Amino acid sequence: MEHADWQLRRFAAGRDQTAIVWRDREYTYGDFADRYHDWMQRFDAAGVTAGASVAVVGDFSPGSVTALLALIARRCILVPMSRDSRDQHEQFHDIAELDFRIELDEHDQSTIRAMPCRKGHPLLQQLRDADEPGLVLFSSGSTGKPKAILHALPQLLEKFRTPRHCRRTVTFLLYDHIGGFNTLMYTMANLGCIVAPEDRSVAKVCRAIERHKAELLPTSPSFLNLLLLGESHREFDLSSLKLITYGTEVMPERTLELLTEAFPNVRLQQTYGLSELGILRSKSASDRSLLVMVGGEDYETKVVDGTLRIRARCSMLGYLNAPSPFDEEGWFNTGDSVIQDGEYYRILGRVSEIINVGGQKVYPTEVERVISEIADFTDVAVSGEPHLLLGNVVVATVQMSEPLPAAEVKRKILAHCRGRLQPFMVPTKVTVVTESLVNYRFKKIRR
Amino acid sequence: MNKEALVTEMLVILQDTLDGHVLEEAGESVRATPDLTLIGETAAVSSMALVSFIADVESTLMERHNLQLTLVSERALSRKKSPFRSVDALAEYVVELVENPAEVSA
Repeated sequence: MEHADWQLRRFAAGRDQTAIVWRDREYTYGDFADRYHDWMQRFDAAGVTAGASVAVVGDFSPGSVTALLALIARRCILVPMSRDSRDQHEQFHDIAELDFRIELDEHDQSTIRAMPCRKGHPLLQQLRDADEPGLVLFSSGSTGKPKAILHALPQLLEKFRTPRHCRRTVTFLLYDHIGGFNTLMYTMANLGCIVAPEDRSVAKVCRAIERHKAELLPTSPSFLNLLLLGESHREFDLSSLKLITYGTEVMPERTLELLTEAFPNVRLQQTYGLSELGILRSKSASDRSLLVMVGGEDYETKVVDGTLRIRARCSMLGYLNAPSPFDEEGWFNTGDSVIQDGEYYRILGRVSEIINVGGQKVYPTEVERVISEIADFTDVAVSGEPHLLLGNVVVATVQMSEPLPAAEVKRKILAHCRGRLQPFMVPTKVTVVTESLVNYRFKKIRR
Repeated sequence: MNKEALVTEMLVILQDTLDGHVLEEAGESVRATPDLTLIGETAAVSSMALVSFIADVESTLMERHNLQLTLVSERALSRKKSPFRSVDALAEYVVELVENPAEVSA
């Protein structure tokens, strides 16, 4: 049975269960089934047929998630896009060779627009020839141009049919992100409830948790940092939370420590996934530990030259705008620098973000961890800058709500880093900013 | 551009550097003077501290004098006598760069 048919049967079984809380209103799986059929009729009228590449622009809402499911049923190529990436949409249309663009507004009202962008990319054609639905995700492009990742959906969705425990889940990661898409498919397959926050600000997310008794918050360390900084866990009643999962970037040790103090009754779990390979099953050694076991039945892992390599049973078909990253045996170099400890890994950071100062390696997160101990700073991002003498030097960008002169901030940093970091790790340059250092996906910008 | 004024400004920055950077063996920080040796075997600062000091001088020149100068350049490095050997030499080099902009881009 195809995934969409299987999912529709699940909807019928859970007709009266809440599927999503959106704008403080509950919608049931029965509502989802009705909306799904509405979409199918609209697709017929608009000429959305199998093999069409279709963008769904919006955020988690009754309209958008049922549109995605209807597109899967129609064997289209889904291109989920968030409003936040608007500046890149034109580029995305072109790369994903859109045939249609569905846009949902703040009130969940939608339009379907034909887009004449098809050029016949061989990988897209391969899916059409196989008569299978597909998924295009764009990498955040934090280290260059965004890459378009194409998955065949039948393989990616198969794992969701294994029944698993499901909690009331805040959809923090957007659905144009592998983590957000995974959360959506997992929740619908297990007839769980999606709690959609109005936006991703700390206050709105916490309010959604408090009001709708959310149990699971899948998020990023940057978001948790902001939450702790604003002491939002004291302002809102977050006692319904049972599990916080964090991924997408390296968790600073100090944030994890503070989290365990702030949420003594919540389990903390590191997740690991990549747009190219999907989300791996993972298990933290303990709430307080950064050691994580990753894999599961569909994945093999190994470490080569200190970086994590993964081979997946169902990885992406390929990039639409870059050469294949897999080696002859199908291994994918994650670019994540790790230390192996028995069955566990400690993820140190992206190899591409490691700063080489005169031949010595500096991990931005390690320097950020030490600098973030200074109380007056809202956030800090550490990056490298080319230097004639040393190859690179360490640059710290400090976010402050009330900025001080850079020289004064640098003095504080030097004084604090003395004895805590090796001299080559101490920032040579310091910039002070007032704007946030995280992007719309709550990932730290190190540039 | 007045060299003496530059030296005074740079000494304040150098003292900051001397106070702020770890000097494993020295223990106590050294007093900044115009001819304190900054490079070579007898240097009063580590190479990391020197790089940090130069970066601070660059940002001060930008902030206070609106001068965007790259002090560590091929030109500086190819000199027979390094402009980084002391504050005095560095101030002289800055004056030279300002007075002869062709040299700056060269």
